[in-house]
Amino acid sequence: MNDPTIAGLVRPAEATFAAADRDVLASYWHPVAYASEVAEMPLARRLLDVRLVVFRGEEGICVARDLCAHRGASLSRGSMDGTTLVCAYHGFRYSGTGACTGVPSQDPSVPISRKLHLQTFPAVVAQGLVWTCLRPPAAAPPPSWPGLPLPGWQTMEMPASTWKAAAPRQVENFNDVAHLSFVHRGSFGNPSAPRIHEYRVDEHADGLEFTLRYPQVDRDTLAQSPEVISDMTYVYRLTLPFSTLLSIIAPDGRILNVYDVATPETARQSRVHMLLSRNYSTGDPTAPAIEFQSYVNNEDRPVVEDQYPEDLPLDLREEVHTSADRMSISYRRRLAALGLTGAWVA
Amino acid sequence: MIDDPVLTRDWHVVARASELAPGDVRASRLLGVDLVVWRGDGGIQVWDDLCVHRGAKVSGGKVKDGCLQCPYHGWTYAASGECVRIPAHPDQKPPPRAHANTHPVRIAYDLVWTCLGEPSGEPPPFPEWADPAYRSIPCGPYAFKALGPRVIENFLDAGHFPFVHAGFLGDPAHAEMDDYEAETTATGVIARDIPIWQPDPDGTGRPAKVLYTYEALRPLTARFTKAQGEQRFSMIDIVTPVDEGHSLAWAIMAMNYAHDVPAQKIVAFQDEVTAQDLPIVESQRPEMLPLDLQAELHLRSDRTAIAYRKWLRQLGLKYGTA
Repeated sequence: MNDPTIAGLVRPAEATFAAADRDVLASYWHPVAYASEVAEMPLARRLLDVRLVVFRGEEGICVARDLCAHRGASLSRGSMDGTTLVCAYHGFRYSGTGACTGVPSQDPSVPISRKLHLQTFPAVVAQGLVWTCLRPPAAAPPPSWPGLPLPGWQTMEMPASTWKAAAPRQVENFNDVAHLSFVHRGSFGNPSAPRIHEYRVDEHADGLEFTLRYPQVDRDTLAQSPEVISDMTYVYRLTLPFSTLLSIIAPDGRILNVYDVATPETARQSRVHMLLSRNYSTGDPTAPAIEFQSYVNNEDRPVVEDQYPEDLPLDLREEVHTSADRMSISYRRRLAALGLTGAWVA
Repeated sequence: MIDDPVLTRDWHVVARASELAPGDVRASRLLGVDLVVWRGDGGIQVWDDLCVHRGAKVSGGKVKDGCLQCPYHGWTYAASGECVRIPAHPDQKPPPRAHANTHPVRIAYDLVWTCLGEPSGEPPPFPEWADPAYRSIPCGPYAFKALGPRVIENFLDAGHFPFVHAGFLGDPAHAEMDDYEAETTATGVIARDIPIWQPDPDGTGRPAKVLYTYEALRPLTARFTKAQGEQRFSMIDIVTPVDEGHSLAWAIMAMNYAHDVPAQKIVAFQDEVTAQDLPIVESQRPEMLPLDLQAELHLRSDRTAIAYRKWLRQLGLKYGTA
């Protein structure tokens, strides 16, 4: 049985979600960091308005509320002593299970209050990301993508980026096809191919899938000559609520997989984790591909950050739709079916 | 949108017309509403800055063949506001709902005026603009982190000259003000011939008393004329209510003398005077102008301000007042 609400974990001044929407999203797994980032310092993160600390304990990665039970200090200001998290305020020590293992100001023979325990959340590592769920048991598992790295493929982690936009707006844009010939003219978009042919959206229990052919300007780096047009097949697999795997398949069998996950830090701000995986040029340096993808993302970001209303309108009557928008229509319907209202507080 | 019953029916300035070349697209903001201002073949258009398809800001787009194209999916809007092309479906006729929310436009004094509701009249008069005896010099817009009524009341106030504008428009040694009358009429406020001691009213370096006549023409538009002999210096101050925290003051000066003084010099003087006002007006608390006259202290020299507050109350202005 889920906890009825996670509203109690949110500082009142930092509440941006309507409590009911937050609780729906809190029943899903969301990534809070790349596993590779969790190293010698505790990380401060925010998920659904809740402040979290992420650190590496003796048995793996621990995700906990960023709050020392003693005097309410932020544990992410602390430090790691091996696999022990040390609070910066009075030096209280916590293990990766959340148990307090040391109170420096008191005689070591005095038993430590059992109330001094971190409020921890389940953490799993998949695709190199640390996923957590604030209101377990989760309504669905993390995306069922094949584990990374795929044998023989080259995997790249894009630096996490902050979008001042609601997570569903980021996700809908990532799954949007009619903008490619406009927003991405500076990278892979083909200005001569704005027309979107009919496509079908397949409904799955955990999400949506569709396939589209797009004659993209085929280049992997910004320096590369843009004259080659390749008739790519784009396969989008969206796992609700905010994860998408896009496979870009070239006629010659080259495949680039783009994993895009938007984490709702607040109702108005998202942390975007993105991984790239490719079955070609696997021995090449990764920096040019990462730079190219950053450029593409930065073509999207200002448009999405400016969209109004800031929340994705789940009532389909609020915006105008065309047949190129089948995916976004399905996505909005499925979000509404999760029980979301899109009525944020902020 | 800030739903003020008076301001939504009034005209407000959102751009300077001569700064919009054909094909230019600008973002503007009025009463909390983001607007796009653009010039196509058919003149200047003012619309909500929103593509009805996916809510992107069309002000990031381009003008092509006299139409405005959304930067997101290329939806193309004609000057009428009608969407005439959806590039993803070139053969499909855009649905009737695919229409920009357009607003009426007036061009007056090289300014682009718009109205978010049903206009109750026309933009305020400034006859000096068309009078050949006068040279008109635009200045601003000056951005205030303050609300329009406070900005206008400061414009109508001569009592602060000796302190805020010492050496420019007044002198602390000549702070005392002569008595004057202010009248609230159906169309605004007028305070005639207020004698003001100024250190150098006409640029000759000699101090003299000049006569100021102040008028509030609209809730957020005021003007004065300064008279010294036959010389007249007029200035209109038009405040755009940007949102709950910001105003933009557009001003035009008009003089029937000193035609040889470069306009840049006159603008630089006004820029400096406004820079002196800015921190004071932004510091005023409450931010909302108290229309209840008991809420602040008033002196005889505040007659214009009292009349202005009474008039705003009669009009029923809600924005920027308490």
